[in-house]
Amino acid sequence: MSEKELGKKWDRCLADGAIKIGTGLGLGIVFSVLFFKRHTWPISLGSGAGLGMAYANCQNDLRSHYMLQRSEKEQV
Amino acid sequence: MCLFSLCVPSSCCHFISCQCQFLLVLLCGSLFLIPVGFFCLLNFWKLATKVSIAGGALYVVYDSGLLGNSVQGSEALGKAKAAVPPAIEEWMKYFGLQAQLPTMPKIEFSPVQGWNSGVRWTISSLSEAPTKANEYTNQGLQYIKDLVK
Repeated sequence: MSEKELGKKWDRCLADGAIKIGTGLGLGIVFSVLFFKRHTWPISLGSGAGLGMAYANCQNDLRSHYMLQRSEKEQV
Repeated sequence: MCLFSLCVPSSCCHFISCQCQFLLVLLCGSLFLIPVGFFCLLNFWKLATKVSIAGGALYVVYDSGLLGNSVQGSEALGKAKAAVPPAIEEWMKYFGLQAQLPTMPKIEFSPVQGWNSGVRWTISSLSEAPTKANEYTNQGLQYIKDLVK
């Protein structure tokens, strides 16, 4: 993997992380206000779920380069 | 014998007929059940409104690709970056705040460039450190020798 490609992957990871944490926070706030009497645990749950999804996506993205090469080798 | 003789004192049955008692119970029951029914109907609509709002939020999030892979997430961030400043300007014009707030000064500093230059400077200093240390040591020793002479 070239340095430029790695840099782009990290940029995508950070952007995706910001989006997922923000989305989880927003959904947590909505559910907390509507159903759970403004408790904080849905907000924490949503933010944590967003962070976990971003981590999994980043891990998959960084590993995809080597997995693709391995599948090409297996085909050969 | 009236059906209500069990709960109503026996003396009342002589003054009120069964049909009247039946109508009286029906009237009291309806007076009680109407607010209960209205309350249940209100609760139902409140719950339906909450569920529809939450469902709509989930649908918007899913449809806009915010919960997809990293490519979709970075695209969504790019769209948000492009859409937020014009929206803020429009709202400021609508509320008439544009004239009140001072304009933001444009700072020509890139944190990415600053970080990268710092990293390059650190690594180049570390790579040159042994050579420079050797030079300074030799210079120091030469100076001491000159002093001793």
